[in-house]
Parts: sequence; structure tokens; C-alpha cells
Amino acid sequence: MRSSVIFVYLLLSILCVYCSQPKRIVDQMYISFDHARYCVRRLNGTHEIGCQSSASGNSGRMYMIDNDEEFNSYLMNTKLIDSSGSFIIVLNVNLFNTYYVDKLITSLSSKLNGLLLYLKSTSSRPEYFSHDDQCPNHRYSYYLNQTEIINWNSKGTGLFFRSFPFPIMLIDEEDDYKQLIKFYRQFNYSQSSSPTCGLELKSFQNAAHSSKTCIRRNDISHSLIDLEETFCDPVGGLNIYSKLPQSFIIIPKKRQPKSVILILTTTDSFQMFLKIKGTTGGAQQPATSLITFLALAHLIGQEQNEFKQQDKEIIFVTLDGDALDYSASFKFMFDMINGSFPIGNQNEEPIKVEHIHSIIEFQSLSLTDKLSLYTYPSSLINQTFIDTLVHNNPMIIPMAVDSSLPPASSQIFLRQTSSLSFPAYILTSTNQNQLSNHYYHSFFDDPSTLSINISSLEYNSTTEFSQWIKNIVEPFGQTLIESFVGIKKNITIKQEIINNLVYCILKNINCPLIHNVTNQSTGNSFDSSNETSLPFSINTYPVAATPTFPFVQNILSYFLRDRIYDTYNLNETTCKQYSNNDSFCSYIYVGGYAPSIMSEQSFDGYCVRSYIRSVSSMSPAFTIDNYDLSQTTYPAWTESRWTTISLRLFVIPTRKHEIITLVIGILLLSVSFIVCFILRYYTNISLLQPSSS
Amino acid sequence: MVSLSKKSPEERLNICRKYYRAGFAFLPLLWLINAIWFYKQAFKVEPYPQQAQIRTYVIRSAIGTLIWIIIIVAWNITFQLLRTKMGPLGDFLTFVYPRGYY
Repeated sequence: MRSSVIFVYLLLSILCVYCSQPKRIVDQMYISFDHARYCVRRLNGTHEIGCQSSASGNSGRMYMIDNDEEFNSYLMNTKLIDSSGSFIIVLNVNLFNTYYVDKLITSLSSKLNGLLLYLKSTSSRPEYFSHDDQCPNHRYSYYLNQTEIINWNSKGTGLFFRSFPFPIMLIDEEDDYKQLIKFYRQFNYSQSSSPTCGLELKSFQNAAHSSKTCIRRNDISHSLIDLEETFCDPVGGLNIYSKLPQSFIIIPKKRQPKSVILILTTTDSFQMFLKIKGTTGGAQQPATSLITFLALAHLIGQEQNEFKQQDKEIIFVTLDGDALDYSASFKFMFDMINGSFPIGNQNEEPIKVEHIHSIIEFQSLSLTDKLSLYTYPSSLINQTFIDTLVHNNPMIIPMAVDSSLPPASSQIFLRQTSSLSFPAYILTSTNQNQLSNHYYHSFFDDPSTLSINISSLEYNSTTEFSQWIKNIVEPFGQTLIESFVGIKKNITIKQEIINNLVYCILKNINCPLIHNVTNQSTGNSFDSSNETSLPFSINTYPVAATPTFPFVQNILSYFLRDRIYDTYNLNETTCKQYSNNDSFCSYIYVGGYAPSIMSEQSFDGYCVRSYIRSVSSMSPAFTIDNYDLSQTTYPAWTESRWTTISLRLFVIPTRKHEIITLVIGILLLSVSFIVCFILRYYTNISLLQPSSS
Repeated sequence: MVSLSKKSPEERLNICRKYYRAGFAFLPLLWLINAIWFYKQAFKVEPYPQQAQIRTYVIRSAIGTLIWIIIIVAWNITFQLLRTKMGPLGDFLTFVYPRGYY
């Protein structure tokens, strides 16, 4: 009797283990899409932009619209619209513009609970996809009071700057699209009450209303409860600047007026749809400009012996945060006007507005045959410089005198000095007042737009793009030498260096270049970003662990290093000793980047003497005491915080199914009550009393 | 549980008086409890010498409770309606901020 009981027990347990599927019920109910892009909320001094969902997600019946005919037939199908209380419209990415979105919002009003965009395949991307304004960055531009504005980005929809009360997500992976369409076709067969697919979009944002409210709420803490909750973070990264470490104006020596040339570029961009561990776009703007900037820095570093013979300083500056209302440029000018540029050593004479000779900017460059050179104001520009530039590089076309400037950081430099102090020269790729970039400030701005096949790109592959960069940078460097040093010299940069830069920035930051120019510990910090390109997106303060800043800092400082140290065979301790004696430059001990080193001997390690400074690029609105954030003197952008973002697909059962489920549930409940009652009434088991043996 | 029937009339008056006086320290709940608990004693039981005094305490507690209810409801409605329109003051008065909403 006993053995048979044990045998039955064992048999049942074995059956249970092998026959049960170890899956939670919730996994069988929902299909989740983990690689979807999402739209988040950002705030400026007075408004909020972006998307918001409810805390538990927005769900609704899924309806797919692929083209214009389906769109019109959907809006006319009142029976379908009335059949459900909330809809999630799945829209082809080609239909994402103001016309269709506004029509959906007005027709469906509160029934529109979310929008999911899909991209069928990478080859079917739309020809233009930019959600920045038609005239980008116009809120703080130099041309505020002009009635006639130029639409540099004429295909821009401006949807980035609108506030949506529902979440918007985007599926850009082909597998996700195939899965979505498979379930849709399976279930949404007829429009009657058969089971249909539903979607749940969750992208809850913590911040609301405006930067002013949000920052105020960040700061108020009722100290009974000790946790301070942060709702939003100010937008800002690091402005990095570097120059040849040859000459310093140490107090009490006086700096000569008009002796500093600034070369500018930006390191940030934005996209309407973000993805964790996804590409951020930014290949044309700002990566192309950044690569040109770094290559030019290498050229100047190469020819530093020529530049030593004259007294003008060339300072290379990267600005982070200009994509949103030029916050970084405002901060840079604020620092300059208040005497804290350059930062660091108090013994270095500050550079003020009167010391600036001119500013040169690389902005919105694309792989085009011709480049446009914008200059302003006509009273201060040096025509000889422009002529030399055009003579050395026939690709450059100078624009008409005093023509309107494209969206560029120089606009703020000119505005803050009333265009009375120095001229600006902006090199950009525009054609008839149109930016050549079809994907301005969008995640589609990837290397394929630069005719680069990213999958076959190697560390040292020469592409049409890297040759194009070489053809721009060399004449430019030649022009700088001719104009400031006064000699005509044919200078060249090794193609290998540009190939390496292109590979590192556009394909894989964890490349040999960055390891050769950094010391061991900094180099190891790039290992976590293996196989990712340099991210170009909105950075917030406190600065997150983005590899962009250490990358730019180390490469820029290495390219502009004091090259005499390449000939010294030093070890790490000697290098440290040098750094103790010099308070202006930094000394690091690195492996050395071979293509950049000119001397014949090669050593195991090199001591690098360089001048590099990084300053927070947060708008002055957040650092000035008692500044009212709703004022428009300085931009005040913040980005909301969020926790989980999820996209899930489920099946909405028919009405009949729901009613049957409910009735069965109630029946089970009452049956269980009855059974318990009967058991209590008819049995005499009392668990609390000891059993009588 | 205190049972009033077991207490002598002086003790009952004492308790009622203590609750009435304590309620002035911004404690309307004490008045509410006073009014409800001693209602039977004040109006429904056969008269005894201290009942008149208990009756006045109960009536005054009831009036006090009513005034407090009006004040609290009025403030609640004002705060709900004007929290966002008050600007910084509304945020300083709020204890828990609604996440994601103004």
C-alpha cells in the first residue's frame, strides 16, 4: 500500500516537471518589442515639447495605415472608429508629417491614444525625414526681428517642437516590422467583433509644464521625507578648447588685441526618436564637421614650427548644446565677456572680445561638390583671406556680401558682440539657401548618406568621403599658413589619419587610434562602447557617461601636442615630474599614434604635453543667481527624466469572450465558497487541538 | 473601552469638559467625538444635575465641528482649483508633486 502511494507520487511529480512549460502567463499574453525608438519630453523656459503617456501605459486597438488611400478610408469609416474607445494608429513612417498627424488628431481627438511608426526596411526610408523647424534654431537667431526668414530646412516638419498628449514610438528594425505585420494580418481580419490586436505604449515622463516649474520642483524638498526627486535635468555638456602649447600670455604681459582666432564646431545633435544602444544619427551634422575640425587641428599641430614664428593664437573650440537654441554658444560668450575664458590657471591673461581676430566655423557639412562660405559683417571681413581660401580650394564658393547666415553658432558670437568686434567665416554645404542634409537632426542621418558602406568599412579604408575631407582640409590649412604666417607652403596630411578618424567616429569608437592617444585607464573606459559609433545627442547635466567628451578631448589635445616631445625618450615618472613643474599644460604618458609621429626613432611610450580645457556648456540661465527661467535672454532647455519605456502587443478579446470569462470567474468564486462551507459543516477536523492517539 | 454608564455623573461631566477644552487646540476630531459620544447622555437619558452643563458642551462641540468642516472643505476646494494658478506658492504648499503633470 505504501510503496504504491510513493510510486504514484513520484510518477505525478515527474509528469509535472516534464509536461509543464516554464513560462509565465504574462509572457504568453504579451509580445514585447525591445528595440523600439521612443519620443521623450523636453521643456524650455515657457513650454513643453515631446510626448507623454500615462503612468501605466497607453493602450488601444491597433490599426495599421500604410498609404494615403488607407488613411482616407479609415477616417471615413465611422463604424470602425466608433467600435473602440481608444486607438493606437500604426503609421508608415512616410506618412509622418503635419498633414496626416493633424488630421488624425482632429478626427479622433481623445480616441487617439498613441502613434506607432514603422519603417518597412532600411532601403525604403523616406527621402526627407527631418522634424526640426523649417528655419532651425530661429528662436534665438541673429535674425529675430527680420520679417523675411529663410527656410534652410524646407522639408522640416517642426513636429519635434510640438507637444503631444500621447506617446509616439518608432520601429526601425525589419524583424520587428515582420512580427507586427504577422500578428496584424492574423487577427485584424475583419472589422467586426472578432478578436483584434491591441498595443500598449509606455513612455511616462516625469517633468511637466516648463523648465521654470520643473527646476523649482527639483529644488524644493520638504525635509520630512528625505528623498529629493529630480524631475528634469538641464541640457548641457562640455565645451572643449585646445591650442598649440607654445605661447602663453602670462600676467603681467598684455595680450595684443585681435590676436586670437577661434575655430568652431559642434558635438551635438538631436533626434525625435531615441533608442537605448541605438544609432543617434548625426553623420552629416555634426560628424563631418567634427572630422574636418580634427583633421585641421592635426595639420596645424603638424606645422606648429611655422605658427611659432607669429604671435596669433589659433584656438580650436567644440561646442556642445547648440542644437537647442545655441545654449553652448551663449555660455561660451558669457564666459568670455565675464573674463573666465580661458579657464584654469589664473596667471593666464583672459581672452576678451577685443582680443578676438576672427572666428571660423565648420557647420552642416555634407558630401557635396561645392561648399558655401558665408561671411559677416562686410565691414570687418578680410577679403584677402577669402580670396586665398577660394584660390586654394575652388570647391568653395563665397556667398554674396551680407547674405543671411545659415543656422550656425557664429550667429550668437556676432549677436553678443553686436557684430562690431570680429568677423565670422562659416563653411557649410548649402545650395540656394537650402541645407544639403535631407535628414537634418534625425536618426536617419547615418554614414550611408555619405556614400559609406558602414559594414565593410575598415580601420584604414580610404573612402570617397575621407578623400573629400583631405581635399578640404589641406587647402584650408594652407590658407591659414599663408594668411597668418605669410609663407606659401604645400602641406599635406596623411590619408591614413583621416581614414582612422572616419572609422572611429562613424563606426567604432573603441579603435586603435583612441588607445594610442590615451593612457591605460582612460583607454579602458572606451571598451564598454565597443562597436558603437560616436553618439551625437542631447547631453544633460550632470554629464552622463557619454564617450563623446573624452574622445574629443584626448584626440584634440594629442593632435595639437608639443611635437618636440616626440623626439624625447621618456618614461612615465619623468613625465609626471614635468607635469608638477608646469601648471598650464597637461602631461600624459601614452603609447603613441604612429601615423602622426614625424621623427624617425620610435619609442615604447611618449610623454604628451598639451593644452586642453573643458568647461560645462550649460546655458547661463541655470547658473546665474535669481534668473527667471521664463525670460528669453538665455535659452533654458531641460530634458525630462523617465524610467521604463515599453512597447507591447496583445490580443483584445471579443465582447462575448470577455463576458464568458467574467461569468466563469464569478461561478468559480461562488462554487469555492460553497465547497468551503460544506467542508466546514460536514467535517470535524480541528487543527488546533492535539490529536488523541 | 470606557463605558459611560459605569461612571458617576461628575466623572462624565469631567470627561466631557476635557474633550471640549482640548478641542480648542486645533483638534476638531475631539469635538466631533465629544458631540457624538455624549449626545445620548445630553439628550436621551433622564435628567440629572450635570446634564445641563454636558448639554452645552455637546452643542458647542457640534458647532465647532461644523465650522471646522466648512473651513477644511473650503480650503480643499480652493487648493484643488487654484494650485496651478498660484504659481510658485502652489508648488511650495504641495507636499507630493504629481509626476508628469502640472
